[in-house]
Amino acid sequence: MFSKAPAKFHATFVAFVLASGGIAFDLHRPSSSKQAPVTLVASLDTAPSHFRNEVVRRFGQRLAEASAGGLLLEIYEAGQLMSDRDVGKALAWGLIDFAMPADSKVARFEPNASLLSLPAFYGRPPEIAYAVTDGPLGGAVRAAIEETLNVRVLAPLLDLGFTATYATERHLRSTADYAGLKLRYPGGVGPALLFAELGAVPVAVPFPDVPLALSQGSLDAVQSTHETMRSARLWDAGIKHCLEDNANLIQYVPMISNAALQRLTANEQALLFATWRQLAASSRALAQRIQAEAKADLANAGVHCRALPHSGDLALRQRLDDASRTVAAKVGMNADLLESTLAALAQRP
Amino acid sequence: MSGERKLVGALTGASLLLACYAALSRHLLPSIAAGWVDELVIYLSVWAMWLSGGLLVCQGAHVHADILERVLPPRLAALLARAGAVLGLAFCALMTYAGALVVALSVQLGERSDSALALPLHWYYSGFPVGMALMAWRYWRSLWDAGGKSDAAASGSGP
Repeated sequence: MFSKAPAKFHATFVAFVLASGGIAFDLHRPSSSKQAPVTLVASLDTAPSHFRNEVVRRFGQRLAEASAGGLLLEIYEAGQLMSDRDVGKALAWGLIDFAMPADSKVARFEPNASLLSLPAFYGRPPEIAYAVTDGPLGGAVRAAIEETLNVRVLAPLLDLGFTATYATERHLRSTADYAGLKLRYPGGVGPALLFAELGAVPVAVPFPDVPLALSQGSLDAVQSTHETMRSARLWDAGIKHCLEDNANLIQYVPMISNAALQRLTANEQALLFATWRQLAASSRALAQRIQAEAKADLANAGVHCRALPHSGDLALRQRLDDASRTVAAKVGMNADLLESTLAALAQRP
Repeated sequence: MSGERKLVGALTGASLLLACYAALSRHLLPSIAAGWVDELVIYLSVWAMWLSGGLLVCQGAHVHADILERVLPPRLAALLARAGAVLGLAFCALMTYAGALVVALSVQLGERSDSALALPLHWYYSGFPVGMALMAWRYWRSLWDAGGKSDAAASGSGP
């Protein structure tokens, strides 16, 4: 169906449908030549002040410097072009060149991208999640994403940080304290089954609706990160307690479409990947510093965090492994990848 | 048309019941609340909205230049109505095609919703081309019927 009609015709129509706000953008970029700079169109749906936007802007600046103005990143922020839910499709069709959605958004298209949201990761120290995502299992996930979306993933991925659980009234101290909580999670099958397994009532609520839902008592708790809680000032909506349960490591997946890569010379491609590698090497520490600063601000606002105590509860671990298998079967994750991950986690209880 | 009306009513009624269930269970009995209900409410409501487009065109209740049609002489008003139907037909046909492309892309990529339901999203997206196709069909029928009436009037066999 796609190959028979002209690609530009398809692109124009899909842009019309995807850009639901009716924002038109130029699909007819001039073809590259040796002299003319190549412009890559990037889409982000977070506000310009967000950490991710800052990193992408810095990437664009370094790319322009390193290429002496030959490679330019044209960044559309705050969802000017489309929501992050749609960037996977837009990349696959070559409507945009670069995007960096969270792994949960990529998992809408490539089920193996749900790896880090498996319930089996719950409560584990950060180095275990990093060992998986930086190792061959993470590499297999990136390869699957590249094949599904017709993109190249720029490694390493960018961290946002580990999630924690924030509550209005209940003092959260251990896994027993989730029981009956009406808990907002950002989406994904993994968190939904995880919190259901822990006895909470998981509810997928869009973030803009969270403050009102907390104020009205429709929600008791929220799964999010320190930085997101700080930027939204959710203590004003009644958040008082926080349990650092490391339920999920949220990562952003930088991707460039293969159509865009084909417009670059081999040297430009190498420059692009090298520039990202150099930038990303320091961005993990930056993300950790930002989360630590946000945690301090939360404390100043009266939201006090406790770390989830280390649990040797093997029965809980077994239940979370079983929940992970349910998640994998539901979303269609590769069975070998799942079992290899569970085996890797079992070696580091 | 009555089948379409019943289907729209059933979808709207189901979404209303589910929304009530979601709100009540969340407040009164969290243990039976399901996180995916709100998503289903959206899917059913959106499908109902798209399916009702064809009915509105059929009843002449869809958006059109009705103020102009009232003040213009009957022949001009009929001409304007036909022009509107032609534009509506062209637009809806085009959107049917565009929507079908989006649905096909979603099938190709295996896109799923990110709730616990993990529903294949092409079911949701399909509402758009189906609704547009129904509206295009109704615009076509209105043009066809108007053409028939003109022929009948020209041959003197009209009422």
